Amino acid sequence: MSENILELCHISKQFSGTEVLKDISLEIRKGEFITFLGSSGCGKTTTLRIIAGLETPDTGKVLLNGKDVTDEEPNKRDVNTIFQNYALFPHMNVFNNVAYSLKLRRVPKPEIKKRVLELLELVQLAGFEKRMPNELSGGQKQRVAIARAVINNPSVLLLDEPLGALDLQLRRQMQQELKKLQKQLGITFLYITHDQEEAINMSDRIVVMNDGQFEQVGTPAEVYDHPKTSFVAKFVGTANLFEGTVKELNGEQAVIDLGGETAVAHTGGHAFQPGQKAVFCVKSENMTVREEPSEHFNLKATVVENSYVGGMIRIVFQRPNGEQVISTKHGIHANVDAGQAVYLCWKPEAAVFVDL
Amino acid sequence: MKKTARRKKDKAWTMAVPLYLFTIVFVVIPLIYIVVLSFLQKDVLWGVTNQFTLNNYAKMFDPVYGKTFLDSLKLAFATTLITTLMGYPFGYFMARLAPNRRNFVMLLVVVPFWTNALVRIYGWMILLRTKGVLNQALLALGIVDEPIKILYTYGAVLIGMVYSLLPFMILPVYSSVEKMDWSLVEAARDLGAGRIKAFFTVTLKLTLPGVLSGFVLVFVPSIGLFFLADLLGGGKIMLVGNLIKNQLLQARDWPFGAALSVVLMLMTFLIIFLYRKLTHSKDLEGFF
Amino acid sequence: MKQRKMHLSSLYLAFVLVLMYLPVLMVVIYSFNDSKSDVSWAGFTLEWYGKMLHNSSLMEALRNSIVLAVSSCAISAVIGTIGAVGLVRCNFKTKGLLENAAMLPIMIPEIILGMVFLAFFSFLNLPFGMMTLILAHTTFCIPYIFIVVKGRLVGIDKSIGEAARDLGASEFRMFFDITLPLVAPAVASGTLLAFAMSLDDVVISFFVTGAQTNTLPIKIYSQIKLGVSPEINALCTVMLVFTFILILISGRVGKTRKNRTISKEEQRR
Repeated sequence: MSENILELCHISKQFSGTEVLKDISLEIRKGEFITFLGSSGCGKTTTLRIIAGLETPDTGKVLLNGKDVTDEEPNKRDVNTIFQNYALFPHMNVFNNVAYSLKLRRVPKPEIKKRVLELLELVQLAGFEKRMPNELSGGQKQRVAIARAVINNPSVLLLDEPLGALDLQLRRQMQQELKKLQKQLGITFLYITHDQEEAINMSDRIVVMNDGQFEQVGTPAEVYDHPKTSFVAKFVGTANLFEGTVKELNGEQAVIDLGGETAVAHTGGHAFQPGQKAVFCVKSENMTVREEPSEHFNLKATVVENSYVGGMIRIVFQRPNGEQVISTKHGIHANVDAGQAVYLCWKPEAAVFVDL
Repeated sequence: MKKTARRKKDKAWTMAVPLYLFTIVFVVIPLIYIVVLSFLQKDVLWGVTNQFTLNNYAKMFDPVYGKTFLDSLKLAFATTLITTLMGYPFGYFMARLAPNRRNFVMLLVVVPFWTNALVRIYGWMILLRTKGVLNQALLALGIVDEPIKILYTYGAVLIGMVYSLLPFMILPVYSSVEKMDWSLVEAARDLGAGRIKAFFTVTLKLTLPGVLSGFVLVFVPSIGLFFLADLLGGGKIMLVGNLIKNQLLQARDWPFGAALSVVLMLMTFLIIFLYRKLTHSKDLEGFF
Repeated sequence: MKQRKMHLSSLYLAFVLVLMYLPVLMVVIYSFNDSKSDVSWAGFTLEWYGKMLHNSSLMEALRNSIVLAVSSCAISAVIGTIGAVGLVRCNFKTKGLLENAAMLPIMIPEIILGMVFLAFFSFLNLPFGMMTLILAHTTFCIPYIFIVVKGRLVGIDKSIGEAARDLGASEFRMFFDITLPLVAPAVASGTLLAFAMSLDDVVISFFVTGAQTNTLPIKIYSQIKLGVSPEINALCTVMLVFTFILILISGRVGKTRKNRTISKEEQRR
């Protein structure tokens, strides 16, 4: 039990009649880098605000270090937040921003000075202490916000899309710095993002959220390779979903009927019965083509277009029923032309069954 | 659990308590009192009785008072019309000036707005009186042979009204022109609209909230500025404002004064309601 | 073509501005006129300024006006500011209604407010004088401060206050450390506006003042009506200068506000 620094127990929250969080529970371990991944409006920011104490849940409890803090004021919680727009105090300079929480705790002046300067050094802002927030670039503001939030060594640091406002290059750099900082300080990070790549790069565990619920909680590899639900499959990476009925089972392999055509998928431990409905997904990078059908693999498709995106070839196919299928691969040669008729194909292990 | 959520909100709420109390005690209750008063019978000599009556409202249809109402409305409309004709081009041109010149003109517009209204009215009296500056100038230039009477006429009151309320038209128009998206006008011009056509089809439409806000800000106060009519009209021009004042202080007929106030207030609400309906916005453009 | 157009519009602006300043200028010029009647120019004098200073009833009216404006602005600044902070932060059913009601004093014609107060205060049997004046002026000063402060608060990112709470500030500390410094310029400019309105008010004061208490505008009003003494010109000129000083101060406040705070958009960048 003592390993869990933070526990959410059956938390629900409504805003004017709309259910934003639907009975969510989670345990977070000390020193973990955990990411809440989801599109906007999925409830991830509300979850974070409940942990910070800026919202009170309608039902459920928040335990911090084993202690119930559900009704505690935000200023009494050993949790600090980095806000989406940094929320620096515009009327205070960098030093006073960072020193604010120490001043509130009546830390002696010389110690405040020492700790603030140390921390500014750590976030590479030495010499900036006299600057006002409006004289800083986006990246610098970000660093001030980080310094201000970690100066008290909180048990948990909450980060609400902290890199959302930065450009791509700076974001990549800050991702690495944040990760490094987390290792150095040993603080538990609770990170919110809608960027799946960011989540996969940084996290120890990812919580995929959708519509106020946790779709899946797991390591980046688990979430990516073994999505539990169709939402996770679609949200993390590019996945093609297929819905059909189980036609026959050959040991670990299932032949699935997809409206007259068939395909093969690895059962992955699911106990299927022939005739049962099933949904599986195939990540775009595992999607290949061939020119002739095999006995159990005869999915027809027409190439719609090839495009070159970020070092990858992206091929869009259309199946006879109108569904689109996407395949990606490295390199610059597509090997197929638009309008060409092909058969879709993948390794059975690449197909993962998800919840209906 | 729900209780705690409510309790948290209560804290910020407490800060609004003084405002709440003050507004209820000194705005809401007095207004209700006035409405009640307007339905009571005037006592023979002084004060009111507790008798319900509609007489105070019926009295307004008396031709003498009806005329005052109509005159007042006419003056308000004339004031609104002239301030619009003068204020719109002013606000428009001002918004098109270079920023530093614009700020300077803005300052010049705002300064009189901050100075004492009586002082400025008094300035007009100096200008307009029979032996005043204007007449002397006209005589000296040979435009007139003998001094013309301007002060203590309807025209003088109108001049005073327009003068006092012009900034309330200029500022909202300026504000709406200033934040207008000029690329829309350019698009209209690009699509073949002439300069004038583009103005009437695009610019005017986009700045309409400012004009409407100006209407409200000019029309509403113009009904009540009794001191202006007193000073520039020499007591001969009666506005609803003067009527209310007289009922209160001379005739001592408070219920009738209250009824006049209620009607005036309802008119004001109607105007603000129409404004909100037309512009779909709660706040008066450019004023706050 | 374009050049001429610019010329015409500038000419129009100048014309209207001259009309605006002409009466003000008259008052200033005639305050230096060495003649009892202000019809013709009889040479420069400062006599009226001296007479004005020795006119005790005029000076008393001035003092009353300042006491009135200062006290009603002080009360309204407190009520209006914390009221705006409270209303922006919370959400309750009667909020919209309260906001509309609080704005009423500056939405309805002044004369109605004057009438309402006259009737209401005599209903309560309050003695007419400085107290009724302060109550009435506070009522119409609050909306000016409230609306300006509210406008400023809406522009402040909510998460700045939350960040302070998150870093360990109590509600109380947050108000004094964060909210108040951020809205201070708005409080100042709202209060200045209210101050000018209070100092300028004739209509409402006219109804709620007692026989013993004159405010400056009321004094000026009755003097203008009775027949003019050039002392009034002198006093008006002094008030003009005073107003200019006020405007200069508020301009300073506006400037520092621009330097010290960031709009929401800037923060997003």
